[in-house]
This record gives sequence, structure tokens and C-alpha cells, in this order.
Amino acid sequence: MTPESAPAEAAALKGNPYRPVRAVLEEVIEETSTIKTFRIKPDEPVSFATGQFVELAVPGLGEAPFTPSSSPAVSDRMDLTVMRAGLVTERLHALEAGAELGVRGPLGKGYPLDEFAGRPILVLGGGVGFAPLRSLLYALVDDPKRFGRILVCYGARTPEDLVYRQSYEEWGAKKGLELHVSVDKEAPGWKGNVGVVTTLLDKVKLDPKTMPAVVCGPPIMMKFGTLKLIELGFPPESIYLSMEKNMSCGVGKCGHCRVGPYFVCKDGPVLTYAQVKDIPRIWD
Amino acid sequence: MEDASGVKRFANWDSCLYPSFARVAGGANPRERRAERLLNRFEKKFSFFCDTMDALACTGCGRCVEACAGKIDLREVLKELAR
Repeated sequence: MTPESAPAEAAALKGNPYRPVRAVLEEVIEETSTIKTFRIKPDEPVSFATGQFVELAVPGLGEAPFTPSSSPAVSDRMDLTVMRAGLVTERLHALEAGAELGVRGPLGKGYPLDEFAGRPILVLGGGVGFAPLRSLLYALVDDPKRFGRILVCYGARTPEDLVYRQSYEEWGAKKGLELHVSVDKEAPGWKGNVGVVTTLLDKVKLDPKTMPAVVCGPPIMMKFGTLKLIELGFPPESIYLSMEKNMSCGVGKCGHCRVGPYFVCKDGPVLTYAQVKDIPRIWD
Repeated sequence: MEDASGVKRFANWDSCLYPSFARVAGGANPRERRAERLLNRFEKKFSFFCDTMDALACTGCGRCVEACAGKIDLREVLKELAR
């Protein structure tokens, strides 16, 4: 039942998409009580387009898909912001700098930056969903001539659940970038917006006819975020959703991540609302 | 990676009818019910592949009909669906 592949043979297969590159865990940054950012250094550079994902392997346990949260301009290091949620992530969270990991990718398609060029852009994030969006922000601010105004609306349950807190001041000071942060409920010491992240959309200047909206967060937030954007007049084809499913092989073979006519791993992980709106159970 | 001590790579069987097939970390599962997984199997073989790759994902070997412990005949299901 478990035919073993001879390791030497597997290594000899050039361009084998299932073969991970060894990576060393260089640094672990604690973001919240359940979220950490892992900075890894692969043995050979892994370049990716912002929005593409990788399979991160914990030797002896398994792989799980993550979209890097670091700049796509950097290929010798990679940041992955991971919430403790299952088997692989549980073990990952127990690791310390120096641990050996594997990385396979990049997989899927990145954000369609060509379509974003010259337009103002709305980035809507919730919780750990800020991870791929941070990578996108790096790509956007790196090229101010190409991209327009960047409006970021981000929310989490409590101030303690916000990721990348140490960067907000720096990002807020960037020309052309506007950052709005919200937490779901009042909290001691919190002076910012209170309410689910969609409440921010009523308070900022939006341009639904020209702005693409890039959304990433927990399913419930993506669902209500999308419905709110539609209500505000955003066309379904300019709402870009991270439709993350159980991407296992990452190359459109195994079928775990199929959604309607798409393999999320190959056609996504980012799909527009226009592509998925008629497919049952997309928010699960 | 394969050179690391205590690490081996292996392949194992999987099935789209297993409850964990589409489940993600944290427990969300877009195909939680058995009926949804059965639908997925038929959709994938006889609709998805026709639409996206212009081919049936069934060679007609009859193995699944012979092997089914529940005596489910894929051909009968298709006939029912076609009605």
C-alpha cells in the first residue's frame, strides 16, 4: 500500500515538482498568541510572484500550503506567517531557529499586477489573512510609478490578534499608502476603530468603479467583505479573493482543492468573485 | 532533503470519498457530507474533465463496479443521472 520511491531516483529527477528544497529556519517572530512568522533560508533561491504559494514541509510529518508574506523581490529568504491550526502548523510553532524544513514552489498564479497598474487599489484583510497581502504591499510600494493609491483596511478580533503591529507606523507614513485598522470589540488602550473590518469600508474614500479590491481573511470575513463590496458597487470581476483550499500536490493533479471548474492550486489561489460566485459552498 | 537522517518519502493511496479529502486545518470542510463527496466524484470524472481537459476521467475498466462492497454500479448511477 505504500510504494516507497527510492530517494536517489527522486533526487535525480530534474524539475520534479514534488521535490522540496531544503531550507533552514533562521528566525521566528511571534506575532500573536497563535500566529508566528517564520523566516527561512532555502539552500537555493526560491523566487516567486506575489500571491503565489509554496508547500512548506516539516520533515517526518508533512507539508502544508502557505503564501509567503515577504517581498517577491527577495528570493534568498522567505517569510511565512502561519497560524497554529492543524498538525503541521502545530509542529512548526514548536520549532526554533536552526530547524530544517523543506520548501516546494512557487505554485499557482500570483496577483495580476498588470491589471492593478495605474489604478487605486483596496486591500482588505482579516486576521492572519494579512500574510499574502503584506507581500502584495511590498510589491506595490516598491514600484510607486506603476501603481496608484493603496488603501489598506485590516481588522482582527482584538488588538492582540493584529499581525505586523511593529510595521504600522512605518507603513502609515509611506506616501500613497493609507492604513486603517479595526478590532471587533472595544479593548482597554485601543483608540482605533471598533467593529468588524467591513465597518471601515463606510469610513474611507472608495472608488468602486476603478479600484480592484484584494481580499484575504477567514472565510466568514471574506464572505461578508465580498457582500459589502458588491453592495458598495464593486463589480464581481474586480474582487480578488484568496480561495485557499486543501492544496496538496500543488500542481493540479490530486484534486483535493478543486472548486467548480478550477484547481485552486493551479488556477488560483487568487480567484475573482466573478469566477466563483455561482459555485456552491465556496466560503467553506 | 531525502539525505536527512530519519526522513523517507513515500506515496500512499488516497480517495476523494474520504471525509478528510477536502478538509483544511482548522476543520473547515467544503465536502463534509458523503453525498457531497459522491457528487464530487461523478462531477470530476464526467463533467469537470470533459469541460476542462476534453476527456473523460474514466477508462471504463469496470474495476470499481467489481470491487464495490456496497454493490454500487457506476453505470447505473450515470443512467439515473441521465434521466
